[in-house]
Amino acid sequence: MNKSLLQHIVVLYAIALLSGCSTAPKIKSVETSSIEFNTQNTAVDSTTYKLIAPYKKEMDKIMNQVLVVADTALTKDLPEGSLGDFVADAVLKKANDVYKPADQVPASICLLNNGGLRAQLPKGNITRGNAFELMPFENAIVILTLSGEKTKQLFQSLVEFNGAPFAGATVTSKAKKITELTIAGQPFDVTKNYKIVTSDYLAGGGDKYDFFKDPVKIDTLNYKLRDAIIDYMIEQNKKGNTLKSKKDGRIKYQ
Amino acid sequence: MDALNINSRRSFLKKTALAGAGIFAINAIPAEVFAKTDLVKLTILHTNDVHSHIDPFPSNDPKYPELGGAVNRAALIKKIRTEEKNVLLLDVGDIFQGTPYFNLYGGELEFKLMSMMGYDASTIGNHDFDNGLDGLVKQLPHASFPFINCNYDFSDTPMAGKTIPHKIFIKDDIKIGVFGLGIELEGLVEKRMYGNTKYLNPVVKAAEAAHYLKLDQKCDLVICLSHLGYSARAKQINDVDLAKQSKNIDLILGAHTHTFLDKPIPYTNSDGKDILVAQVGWAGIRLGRIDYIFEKKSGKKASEGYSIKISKKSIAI
Repeated sequence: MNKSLLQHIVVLYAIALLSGCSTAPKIKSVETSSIEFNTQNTAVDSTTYKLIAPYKKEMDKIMNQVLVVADTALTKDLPEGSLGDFVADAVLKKANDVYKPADQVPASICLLNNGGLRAQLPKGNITRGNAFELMPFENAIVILTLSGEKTKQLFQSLVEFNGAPFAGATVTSKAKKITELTIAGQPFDVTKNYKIVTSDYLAGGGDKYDFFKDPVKIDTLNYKLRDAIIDYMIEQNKKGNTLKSKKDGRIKYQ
Repeated sequence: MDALNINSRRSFLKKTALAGAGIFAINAIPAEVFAKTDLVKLTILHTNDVHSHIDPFPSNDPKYPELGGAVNRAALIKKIRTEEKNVLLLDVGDIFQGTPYFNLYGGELEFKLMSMMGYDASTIGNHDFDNGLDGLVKQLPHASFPFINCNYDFSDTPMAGKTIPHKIFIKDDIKIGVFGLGIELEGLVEKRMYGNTKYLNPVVKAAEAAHYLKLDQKCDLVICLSHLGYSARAKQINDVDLAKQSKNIDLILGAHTHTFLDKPIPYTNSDGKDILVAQVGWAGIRLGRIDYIFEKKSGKKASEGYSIKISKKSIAI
């Protein structure tokens, strides 16, 4: 800290305050902005510690279970991030595993929101606790059937708001306009309906995903997003797979 | 001014001017000055968006290794309480959601810890609705502090009668009026979670509450607990806009945008008066501290604010 500045402020302040002069003293801030408090030099607050202990013990029993190993940290990024790719791929796969519609047509796309990914995954052991922190919400998976026009609007919005976690499609754009769109390996067809996996939160108007309004059909799966992610991790581990950063360029800006 | 004789004034100036690096102007004023004069010191401590971060971040966290933690925050608050007579400890909402503590226990431990630390009040954030209105109501018995909000109309919900629009705290004859504001829930929180909660215009409600506290109740300090968000990241009305449009508010303690402000940011309100806006990020990584000095007779005040980073190795149980 600039000592002379501090002295200056203190003296000014003291004179203003103590002489009763008409201008109000003004110390809005001092040049030092933040300090650090390290409890290593202080006794642990034992009452707080004792209050937490039984909760933590019970929680750790459940949450410390290792589900899978990650070769690299999976991180949040826009327009595309390794974490968003992983979550959208996992949710699309697991949703289709339990989705048994009358028409037997699986969902082709998954779209989530970047804000909904609440923590990144570290390199190494991924625990149940990591999955809870990544997806703490109790949101359930829904499958929306959208018209071709609405699906087009979805991808146009995706391009405009600089990406979001999605799977099942690749989109290329130039000057914020779609130049190429492939869904489930096929060129996009505006005359067709498409099935999109998302959360009940987003389907219900969360994050202003307006293209989800008035879908052709809504199928609600009794399956939480978080459970789908956990099940996918367990499945990958059983297959002997580790989590890898993919970032396959599913969204491109030319 | 009569209250201070020239000797104590001289010693006051000498001691404060000698303050070394890391000691702050207001905190350098010796306690005897407050005893001999009509100066009163008030220490405001604040947190926001703690999001169930009861344990410190783990050592392998890429951004905040070993930072935060309720045990460490409690120790810091306890230490400040031993040094300061007049402490007001406030939270600005989003207490809930973010670690499995919330998923497993629904916020019970968060409220118990805040009660133990002696929080004086909190407002309600959007994530405090994450287990629905019933989920919030269920945990209220674990909180020994009031929830303050003046722009959610809960009258047709299970939360009816369980919040207060504002509260006046008195510390050494200094009156501190506190009111709270919540963010628009539509499009942010699922309808089934907030039910029949009505969102009222925060600018209008803030003006009413601040007028009541400052002019009718003659509070020396009016504090707004705002879960609206700081500025650029908040799409709707935010703390910076509110500060500039407002009158009768001295300090906005903010939340929602997880903005790390190293110290309160000064703005000028619509009356040309000073107003501060503070916010300390999220997850209990920092504790905000703002010290005020009031001169009772003249009604003048001075302030100084900063944020304190909380660190320590993880607790092992």
